[in-house]
Amino acid sequence: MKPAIELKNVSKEIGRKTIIDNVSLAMYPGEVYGLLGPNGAGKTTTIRMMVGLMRATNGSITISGKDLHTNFEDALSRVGAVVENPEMYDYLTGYENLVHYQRMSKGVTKERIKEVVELVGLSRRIHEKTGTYSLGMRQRLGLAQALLHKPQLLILDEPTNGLDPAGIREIRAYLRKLAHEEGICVVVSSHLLSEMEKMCDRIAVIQEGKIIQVAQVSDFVRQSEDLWYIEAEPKAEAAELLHSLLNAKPEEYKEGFHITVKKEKVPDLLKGLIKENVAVYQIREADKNTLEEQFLTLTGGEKK
Amino acid sequence: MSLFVNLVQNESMKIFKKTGTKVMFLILIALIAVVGLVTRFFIGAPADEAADWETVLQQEVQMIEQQLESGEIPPQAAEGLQDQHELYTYHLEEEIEPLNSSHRWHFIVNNPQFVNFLTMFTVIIAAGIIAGEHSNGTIKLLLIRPVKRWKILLSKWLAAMVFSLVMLAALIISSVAAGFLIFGFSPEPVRVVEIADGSIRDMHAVLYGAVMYGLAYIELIIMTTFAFMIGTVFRNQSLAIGLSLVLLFTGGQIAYLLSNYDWMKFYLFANTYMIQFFEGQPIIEGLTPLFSSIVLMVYFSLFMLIAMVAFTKRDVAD
Repeated sequence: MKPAIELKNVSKEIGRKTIIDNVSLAMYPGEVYGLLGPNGAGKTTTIRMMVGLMRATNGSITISGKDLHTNFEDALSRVGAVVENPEMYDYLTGYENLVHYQRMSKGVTKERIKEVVELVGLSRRIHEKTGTYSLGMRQRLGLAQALLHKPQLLILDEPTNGLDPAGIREIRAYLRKLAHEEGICVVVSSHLLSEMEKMCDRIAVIQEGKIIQVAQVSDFVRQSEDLWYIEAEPKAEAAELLHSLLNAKPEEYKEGFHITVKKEKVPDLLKGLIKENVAVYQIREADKNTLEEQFLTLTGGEKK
Repeated sequence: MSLFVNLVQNESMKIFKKTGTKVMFLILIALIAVVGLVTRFFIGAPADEAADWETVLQQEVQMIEQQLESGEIPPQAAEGLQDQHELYTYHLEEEIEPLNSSHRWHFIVNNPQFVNFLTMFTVIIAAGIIAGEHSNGTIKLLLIRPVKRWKILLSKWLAAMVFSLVMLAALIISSVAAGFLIFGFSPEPVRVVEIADGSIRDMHAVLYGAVMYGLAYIELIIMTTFAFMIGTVFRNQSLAIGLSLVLLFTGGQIAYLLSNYDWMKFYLFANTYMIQFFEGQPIIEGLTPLFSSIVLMVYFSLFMLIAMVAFTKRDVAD
C-alpha cells in the first residue's frame, strides 16, 4: 500500500542547531498514527514540516506520492490539519471562519459546512463570534475546518487538549472511525502516553529530534504487561539474585524493584528467591501508570 | 482565477468585519462633516455676499493696477500681483465666479487633503494584514491550504487596495453630500481657474477633483505597499504601522529640507507627492512627471519583491 505521507531522511536545522535529525517515517491510510514525545522533542516541528509551514533542510516529504515542495497545491489538497492551538479569527463567527476556509479549497459546498458543523457538535453556537468560544469549542471548530475538504490525511497536534472527558472520548472514537471505516490516515501528536494508547494503532517515539522507536500500540502495551513489581528483603541480596536469575539488572522502584519477566516464569523466580532465604513481601503486575514511566525511561525522563 | 477571487473576498471579509475598520469609516465621515460645518459657519463668509463677486473683483483688479503703477512693490511681489491680475481679469472676461472658501465646490474639490487620512487608515490595514495573522496565530491555518503563498500575499495586497477604494468612495460621496447639505443645493457647473506654470488653467470642477484625488491616490498606493512590506518582513504590526506613519508624516518634510541636493531626486518622498506637478512647482528642481513615475515604479517593485521573498521563503515558526 502507498503511504499517505512519507518522510525520507528529513532533517531540520535552525542556525547551527539540529532540531530534527534524519527522520524517516511512513504513515498509511487506515491507521491512527501517534507522534509521542516530551515537550520540545520536535513533534510540532515535524508536523509543521509535514504541512509545509516549515521547509526541511534535507530530505523529502511526499503526500500520496506528491512532493510537498515541487507540487505544493496538489500535495496539500487533501490534507487537513490543526497545528498547535486552533487559533481562529475571533472577530468572525464560527460559520464565517469555515466559509473562509471553504473558499480556499476546491469543491467544498455550503452543505458540507453544515454537515461538518453537525459532526463536531457546534450547530447551536456556530453563528456566534469565535472570540466567545471556550478552548474545547475552538478545538471542535479546528477539527471542523480540518475535515471540511474531506482530507485523506488528517494531522492533529494535541487534538484532545482542552476537551472535557466526554469530549475526549467522542473525538477519540470519531478519529478511530475515520481511520478504520473511511480509510483516512490520521496522525496525532501528544506527550501523554495514556492518551496515545487509547487512540492510536501505531506510535513513533520522538526525542531530541530523533525517532527512537516505532511500534504497534499492542506491542507497546504487551511489553509492559511483562513488567512486575517485587518487594523482598534483604534488598541487596535480592537484587543480586534477581540479576543472576533474570540475566538483567532489576530496576529499583519505590521499596522494591521493577523486573521484566513472563507470567509463566514468575513461580520459578519466586522459588529461586525463597530457596536463598530471601523474604518476599509482594509481587504484582506493575502499576498501570508505570507505562507513563516506561515512556519517561525511554525518553530519558523530563529534562530539568 | 475564481480561486483568486475567493482569496480577495476572504481578505476583504476579514478587513471589513473588524470593529476597527468600522470606526475608521465613522472617523472619516465625522471629520468631513466637522470640517464642512466649521468652514461654513466660522470661517467662510455668508454665501449671499458672493452675489456681488463681479464688483469685488473689479475693485481688486483696480487696486492691483494702482499698486503696480506706484512702483513701490519689490519685483518678486510684483510678479505675484501680475499673476493675480491675470487671473481676476480672466474671471471677469469669462464670467466665471471664483471658488471662495464658502462655495460648496471649493469644499468638494479641496477634499483630496482628506486622502491623507485615507492613506493613514489604509497603511494601518496593510501593515496588519499579514503581521496580524502572525500575532494571532491564524497564519498557520491560512497557509496549510492548497494555495501557493504568493497568491495569498497578492490577495492580501489587493484586499488592502479594495479597502482604500471603498474608503475613497465613502470620502467622495460624503464630501459631495456634505458640500450640498451644508452649503446648499445647486448643481450648476463650476469651473476651477488657477495659475499654473505662469498661465491660466481653466478646468471643470469635476475633472479638477478627479485629477486631485487621482494624484493623491498614488501616494496612498506607495505608502500602503511600503507598510505591507514592513509588516510582512518583520511580522510585527505595531512596528509596521509606526514606521510607515512616521515616514508618511515626516518624509515630505525631509524632501523639502534637503531639496538642494541633487540626489534627493531619487528619494521616495520627493516623488510621491504627485500633486506638485499639477500645481506647477516640484519640490526639487528638474523633477518631471515621467521621472517621478519611473522612480515610484522602481520603489513599488522593490517593496513587492521584498515582501514576496520574505513571505514565500521563510518558515512559519511562531
